[in-house]
Amino acid sequence: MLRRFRLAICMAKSLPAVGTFALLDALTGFVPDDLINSRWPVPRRRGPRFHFSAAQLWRVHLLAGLTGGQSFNAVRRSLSEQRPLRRFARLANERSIPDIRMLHEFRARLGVSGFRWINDCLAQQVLMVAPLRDQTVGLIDATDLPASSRDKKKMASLGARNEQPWAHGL
Amino acid sequence: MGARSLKPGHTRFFVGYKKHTLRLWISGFEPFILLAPLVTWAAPASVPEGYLLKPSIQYCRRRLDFIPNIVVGDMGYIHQGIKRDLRVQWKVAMITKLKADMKAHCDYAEDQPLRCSQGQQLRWLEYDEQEYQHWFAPPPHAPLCDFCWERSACSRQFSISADTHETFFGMIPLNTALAQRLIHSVRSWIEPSQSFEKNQLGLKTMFLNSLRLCWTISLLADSAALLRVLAILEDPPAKPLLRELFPTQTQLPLE
Repeated sequence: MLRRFRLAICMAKSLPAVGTFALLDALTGFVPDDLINSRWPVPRRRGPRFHFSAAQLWRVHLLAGLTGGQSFNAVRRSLSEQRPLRRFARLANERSIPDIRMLHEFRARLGVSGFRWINDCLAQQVLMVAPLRDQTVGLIDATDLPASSRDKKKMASLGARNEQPWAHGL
Repeated sequence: MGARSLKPGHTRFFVGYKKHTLRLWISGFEPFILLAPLVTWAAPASVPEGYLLKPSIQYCRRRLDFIPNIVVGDMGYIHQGIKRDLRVQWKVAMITKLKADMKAHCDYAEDQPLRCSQGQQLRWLEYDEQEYQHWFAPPPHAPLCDFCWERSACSRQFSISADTHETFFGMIPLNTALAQRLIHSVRSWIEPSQSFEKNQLGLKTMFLNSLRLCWTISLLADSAALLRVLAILEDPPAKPLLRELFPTQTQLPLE
């Protein structure tokens, strides 16, 4: 009975859900670390040393999506607490975690074209292994991404002040 | 400021960006529907969708050395000049629905077969890429042909230029079963893939306050989707217990 149950579990096996550590383990082998590191090698220069390779920093960025849409700040906080996240990002321990400035500099260094280049590598891998028929079909569409503009919205006016601003010690 | 389709609880206009994505339908993967993002653009919401159709195909060709034979889009990509360019230059069939006002002025209907001058229904044979013409013929044992007074002079094959109505004819006429399946069965899968990116990968909850950040986040979401596709293709799932309830690949008579 137990064997049948296990068999049923195995048959039902699919890719783990987004946000689980199991998904990170399933995807970690497909990240093209060597390609990324060869394209953006750690620069040798005077001054503070780079502690992280480009692949490590890209993996940290990827965690923002794979953990369910966290901000980069939240990812950084999670990295110090969650070992599976560090394992995915190939970070040695909780003391060696890239800070926000490093992530920002990495994004500036790669630029949009850099991130696109990595995606092109992944897409080429998909095209190589995907079982495509003679006639291939593409789907194109656009999705809305509203800007975070809550602080820019007009608030209800409180009316004109009828007293001097320093009346209450302001 | 951009416009979006009306949904309950949403305004018609919004401030922000749009993520334009060309996805590849991996049609040979049998267990379930799989879409892989190939090209993504993040643009201000005011940029019309049709502007990024041609660059997407061009990018695919230049960077991936691959062009999908058929591209299915919604009515935002209906610009006839661009569709004609894709058909003539790159042999790409761009398929969209007809707009309501187009239907009123179009001599052809999506749910009606073409007919000869005597009223016999015609079926689509092929698109001639050299002459940019479609060929139609009556089906075998056509009932009206046996009694037609023009039978001796009729070639039983009729051609019509694809330029007659770019949106209706294009490379695949809209009144064929293939075009209808692509529009109604295949295109509808774009919504779940967008929903996956927005809700599960968290595009909706990200703090997007610049186009540059929007680009980066969009491309990272694509990276996650591509990694998932690679993982699924590498280790396809065994037959699941709920297989009967799963959506299956649509069988298209493409070959």
